[in-house]
Amino acid sequence: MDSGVQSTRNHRWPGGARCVAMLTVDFDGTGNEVGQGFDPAGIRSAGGYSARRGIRRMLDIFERNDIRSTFFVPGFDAENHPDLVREIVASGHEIGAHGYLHERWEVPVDEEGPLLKKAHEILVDVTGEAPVGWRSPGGMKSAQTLKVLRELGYIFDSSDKDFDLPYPAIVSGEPSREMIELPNNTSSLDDTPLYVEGAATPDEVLALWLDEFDTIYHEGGYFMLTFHPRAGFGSGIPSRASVIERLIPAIRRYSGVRFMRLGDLARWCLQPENGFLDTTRRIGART
Amino acid sequence: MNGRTIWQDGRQCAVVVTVNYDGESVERREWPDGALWGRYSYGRYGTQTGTPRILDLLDRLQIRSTFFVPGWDVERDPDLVREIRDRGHEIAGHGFLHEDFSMLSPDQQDQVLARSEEAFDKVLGIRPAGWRAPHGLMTSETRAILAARAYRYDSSYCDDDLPYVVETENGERIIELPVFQTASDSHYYRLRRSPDVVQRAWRTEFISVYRIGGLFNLTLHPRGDVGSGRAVRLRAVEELLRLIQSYPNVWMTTCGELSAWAAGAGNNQIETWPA
Repeated sequence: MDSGVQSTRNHRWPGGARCVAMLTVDFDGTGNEVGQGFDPAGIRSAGGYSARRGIRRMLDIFERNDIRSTFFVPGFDAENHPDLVREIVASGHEIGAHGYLHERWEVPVDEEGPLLKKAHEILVDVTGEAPVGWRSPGGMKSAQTLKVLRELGYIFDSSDKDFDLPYPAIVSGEPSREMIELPNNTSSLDDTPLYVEGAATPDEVLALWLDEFDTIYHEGGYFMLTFHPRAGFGSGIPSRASVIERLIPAIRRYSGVRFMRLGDLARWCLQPENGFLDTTRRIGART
Repeated sequence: MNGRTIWQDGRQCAVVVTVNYDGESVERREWPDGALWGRYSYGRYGTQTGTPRILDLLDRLQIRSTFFVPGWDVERDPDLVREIRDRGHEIAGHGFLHEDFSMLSPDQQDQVLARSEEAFDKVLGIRPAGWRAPHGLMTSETRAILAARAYRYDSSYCDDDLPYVVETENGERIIELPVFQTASDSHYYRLRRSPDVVQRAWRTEFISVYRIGGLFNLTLHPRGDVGSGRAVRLRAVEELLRLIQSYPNVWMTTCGELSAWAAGAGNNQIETWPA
């Protein structure tokens, strides 16, 4: 019997890899609080940890483990920490766009285009390169979001939670052959809900992610993890950063795992012969 | 129960595996069609991935289930809903847009049920035999309304270990198949517990119900957030179902068949309560 899961098994990963792993970092500095109208002071200062400690801790972990990844940076944080953002790029990582003030609310339609362009231009100014990918800060999009991003030259979005594999992004209501959706499940493969709603300990989070990885490795081979270098809801502090540190060698014990930047993965998925553009089900196509 | 149970043929325990479909209707209830992206796409994960995965598992284990499907989702995903039926499962009612029935007047409840039945008629050509309250929320009148609309069972209350008969003021009867959050996936995943914890919790629930000869009413959701649709979580479901299948004298059935048996004239051990 045909099912959506089996019908997409004819894909292949770069270099004959069995599984790709993307350890993505959402910068999420003080702009998160500022955007909500809060003074980022006292208990609301956890975003400041990203720039002071968390980002460099992640860079160190990646360097020790020879991993290149993708950092999503809100425009506000890039403006405030341009040297740090350039250091991320100089370390071999990719910068993706992530709103200006981490807008986690619904942005009015007429403000959305200018906002996306503003954040885009800040990243271009700071890094000297145009970002090719975007992740919705609060997990929301409008029908025109990807159209605007496509016009700005973006080739991937990493915001949806409706599938276990990349699939053609829906741009102007149609599956695109120029833009790919790289889904990120933020219910279980994101640090924030686990540490906040779940009040989980680092050991519990590590066990869960390893369990997720093991299953995904044997299933479709697409492991997309999202974490934050902040204190508070993130993984920046030593106890929680150690989860990332311990996760990587545990993943490496599996054969054929390839760590990737999202831009590289997007370019791979957009080549028709690799099997991501011809899904037999109309994934996400209904609006 | 002195070593004897109410079940037929010397069965020790009855088990129903139920699936609250809860597709895009859950998000659509609050957001327009064009907004069902990103954080509002977990329902679609269920229709694209979770439900096919659950169906494959049920096939592998040869288990027939009852899917409670909101009428809006029946119209949204007609092919998938017909596939659920064609693979041997029962489809029952679950609101139209996953409404909170505790906030609806009796008249409004009646109208929502009627609208949902239209969807069942159009896509499946049937009237649903049973119903489960979305969010578990309803009013004291709801079961009488269901009985008047010829529903044979409800599966929403959590006030007994066994099925029972509800007799309405009009003398109509409807079977209740009690259901508990402790045997649901969403209760744990909403709090971001791990599949390992959930599997252990379910195991304790099942073994305890088995010992007293009760009804084990398991509730799954195909959704990508609070449900069991993710591959790692479906492993927890599979382990539980295999454990259940390893126990002797378990009657594994659908809600429709269980309620038909409970309503049967030959069975005098089912208790009757006023609505």
